[in-house]
Amino acid sequence: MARTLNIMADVMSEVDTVVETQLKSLLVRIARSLIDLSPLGIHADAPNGRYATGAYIASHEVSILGNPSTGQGISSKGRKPQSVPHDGGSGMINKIKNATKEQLMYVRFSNNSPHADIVETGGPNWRRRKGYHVYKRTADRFGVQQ
Amino acid sequence: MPSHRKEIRKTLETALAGISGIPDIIFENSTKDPTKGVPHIISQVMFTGREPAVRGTNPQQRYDGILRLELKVPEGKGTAQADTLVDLILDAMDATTDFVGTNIVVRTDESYANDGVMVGGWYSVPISVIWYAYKT
Repeated sequence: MARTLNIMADVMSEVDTVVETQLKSLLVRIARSLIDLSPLGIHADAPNGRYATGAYIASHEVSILGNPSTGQGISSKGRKPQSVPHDGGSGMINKIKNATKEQLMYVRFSNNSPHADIVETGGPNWRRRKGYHVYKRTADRFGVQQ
Repeated sequence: MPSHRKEIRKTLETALAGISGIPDIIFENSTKDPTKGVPHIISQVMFTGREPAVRGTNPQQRYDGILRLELKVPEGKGTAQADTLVDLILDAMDATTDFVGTNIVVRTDESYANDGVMVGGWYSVPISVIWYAYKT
């Protein structure tokens, strides 16, 4: 009996490792989808027409168990976040790769930048009122809840 | 171990700028403004990892990242121009292409474009080039 239990423990350990690897792979693909679909330059009807590059993509965050989202975002007007720096596009992938299996039991992606809603669905000053639908398209792509 | 971020960025941006037939590129932290109605590309080099490539003492560092591009062509004029430009970029930065810098090689892992979006007078097509780099 002891021999059988040891084999099962080994098998379960292998299964755990495979599950963790696959879960991380999926989460990295979700993070990458958010990065892929994010606009690099928010300009719309900015007075000088200049791009506010990177503010939206830098405001993506991934919350995992024990490491919650800060709820802050970077403004393209140069205001700094008031608490812990959030993940940014690249930081999400690092956080996922370094997380433990237990921490990945709860995962939430978010963007709390001041213009997150406008980027998602368009704003009153955007011609044709189209948005980028970054989170909706990612949710649809992976069949996850928004 | 010295960091090679600057050289990696230079290698990728040089490779991008060297693609024949693509419009002007607006690189990061640039004061260059887009011209209304003139196609252009916004570029951002993202670094997603820097970790030892092997175990042991003095391991070489492996860098991972994404070259994020956004191609912008005038809104409402169809997709042909954007598709042609996207093809040029993806062909030049196809998977397993090596870009050689000073003491660094940047290799592309994947390159792909996502759906275009009409926003603010532009038809914007996001492009991602997944890369990794080793010091030579």
